[in-house]
Amino acid sequence: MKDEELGEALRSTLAVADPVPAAELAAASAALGWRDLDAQLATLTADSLDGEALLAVRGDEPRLLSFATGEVAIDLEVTNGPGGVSLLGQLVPAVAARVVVEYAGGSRGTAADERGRFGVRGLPDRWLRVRVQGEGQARSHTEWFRA
Amino acid sequence: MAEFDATDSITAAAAGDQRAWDLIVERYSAAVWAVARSYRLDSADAADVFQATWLRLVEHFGDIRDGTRLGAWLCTTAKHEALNLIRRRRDLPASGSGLLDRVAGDGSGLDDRLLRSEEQAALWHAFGMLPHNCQRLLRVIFADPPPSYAEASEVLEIPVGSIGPTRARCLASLQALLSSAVG
Repeated sequence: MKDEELGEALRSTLAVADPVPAAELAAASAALGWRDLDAQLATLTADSLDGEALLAVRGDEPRLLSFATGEVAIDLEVTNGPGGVSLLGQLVPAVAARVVVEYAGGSRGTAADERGRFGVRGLPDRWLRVRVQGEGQARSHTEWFRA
Repeated sequence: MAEFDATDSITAAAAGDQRAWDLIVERYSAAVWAVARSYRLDSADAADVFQATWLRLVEHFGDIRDGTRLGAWLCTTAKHEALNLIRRRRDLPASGSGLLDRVAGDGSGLDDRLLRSEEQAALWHAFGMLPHNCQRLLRVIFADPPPSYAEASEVLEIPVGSIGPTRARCLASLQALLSSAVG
């Protein structure tokens, strides 16, 4: 079989044997709905996974993630257990704020206290993002992350 | 139908145009999925990488000023997300570890009735017996529609000039596997 024929056969076989699942296409289409033009994006500035070798011995240490806009930082301690995903958060500068954890299919609201601390437990093990609205601050949300 | 214009589509989608977004998803989904699967991820993990890639594009529209970069950006992002998943999970075999490919050729998670003919089944089985670097390359460049060689080069981390010869070599290996199977 010539390369062109074999290539074509392979292309059609791949498309049939391993297509993008319809549910994933639908979720990708829906992803546009997460765009929030009024919020500042807090990008990932540190990830405790970065310091580890690819095949590090597994431990149960929590994962530490830091996100920042130019003005605020959101530090998270992320743990994943039988009860779901838990977040312990710290806002920098430390202010009271409304906090919402968003994910496909729902959200959980909580509040950061006057020392900028908050916690949420029992979250689904999915892509998550944290939205923060402190008094007098622009709304911000972290990049998507997961445990 | 008007030809797909990446720059126009990004601009419109960034402003909230669902139809423009869906055109982008339609155009690049096969390539993004191929990149995810090329890391030997099962369909659940590949779905995770696939979803992450599109979430990242929604976050980072502003980073792509030039529409000609969109395909490369998506493929490279899929690669990063695949590597991130492997690091997060820590229980998956690392790329190139020599462990058996769980994805291609063994029919796991695959509805074999979808394979229309014995020829396709034989081809799929032979594909699964290729060395992993060939499976990676062929999955990516034979996605439908395929990424450009430049985009494939970025994600596969081989020079653009190597793609043609490697493709030929891998197809020759595939042909040899097919021929020996027919016996």
